[in-house]
Amino acid sequence: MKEFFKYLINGIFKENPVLVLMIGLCSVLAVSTTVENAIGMGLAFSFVMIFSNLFVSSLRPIIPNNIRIPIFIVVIATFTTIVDLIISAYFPELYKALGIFIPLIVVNCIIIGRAEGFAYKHNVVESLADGVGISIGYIWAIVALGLIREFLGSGTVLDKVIIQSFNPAKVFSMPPGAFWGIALLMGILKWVQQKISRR
Amino acid sequence: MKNLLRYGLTLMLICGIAAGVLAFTYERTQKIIALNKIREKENLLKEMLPKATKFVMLSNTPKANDSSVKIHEIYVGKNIESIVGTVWEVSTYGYSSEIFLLVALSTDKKIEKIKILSQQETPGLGTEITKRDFLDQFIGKNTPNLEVNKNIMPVSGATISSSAVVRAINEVLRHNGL
Repeated sequence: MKEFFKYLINGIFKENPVLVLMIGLCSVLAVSTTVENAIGMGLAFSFVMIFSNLFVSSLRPIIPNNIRIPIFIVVIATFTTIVDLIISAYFPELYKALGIFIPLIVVNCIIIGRAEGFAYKHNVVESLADGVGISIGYIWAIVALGLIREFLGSGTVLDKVIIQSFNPAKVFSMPPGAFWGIALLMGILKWVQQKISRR
Repeated sequence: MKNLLRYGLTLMLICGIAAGVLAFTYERTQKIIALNKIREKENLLKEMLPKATKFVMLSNTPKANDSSVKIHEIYVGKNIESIVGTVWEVSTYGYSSEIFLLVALSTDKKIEKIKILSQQETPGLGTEITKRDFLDQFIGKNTPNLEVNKNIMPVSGATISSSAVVRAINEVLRHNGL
């Protein structure tokens, strides 16, 4: 049980996929224009992440080492297609906003990285903990970025106006704003980690 | 040789299971997806012509004179049996993207409403063409002589995007003698 929490926390801060490992940034930067999109993308990502970790680790005994990569891709692609179909059937608005980035979860390097680097070497429970941890890490990073960009770029949070007299800077909704926002978040996380480790 | 068979069978097994799961999900969702698309289109058309209760798509669409404009679909809005107007789906090349728009015409061939369906113009400049301030100037026009800066005020900083919309609307007015 102690191990479970160790791997869970690991994904949230120490190996946060977006802010520390800095992989799979493409969809994070592109989709985080609003909090709503960020939450949608985060949940779609989590579904694929957790199930791919679960299945890769449970299929471990029957996967021959030489063809493990094609099998990972099949597993990940299956779950991505399921998410794609479900979102387009039940949340058409969200589907429109996320667009191409849902099918692109297939090639998201966080997921295949965790399948290869973690789930293939650990048991099912540990892989579940890692999948959930990485997902939480991804969600908080992308939602924080969405919060910064939506508030500074259009003056709203979840489509609600927060401060009446605030004049938004549109550049935060555009690509440069994504880089500034993510740099800011990386800086804050690093600063906090240094403060903690100095103690 | 032994390995070859083992690899092949393992992959086949996993792909087979994946295909089965996907077929099941597809079966369950595809009806809803198709329904969503129809409902979305109907809502859009209703928004354009609120008086109409039924829409009939015309099978033959005229070819646009302007090469940058395409006329995609024409719907005739009907209320019981009387025609209340037409809705045109047209596209035109703007500054950085193809702009899709819906134009609603009343029975006396005047513009009732315009809506931009999709565009990828410059954020903050070209994207202003989707706003009411710009689009409402077209309402009531019925002759294809519209021109930027003459009888239509373009969005400042986005003359190319504005003229693209004007071209598309001229094209609709030119062909509206159905």
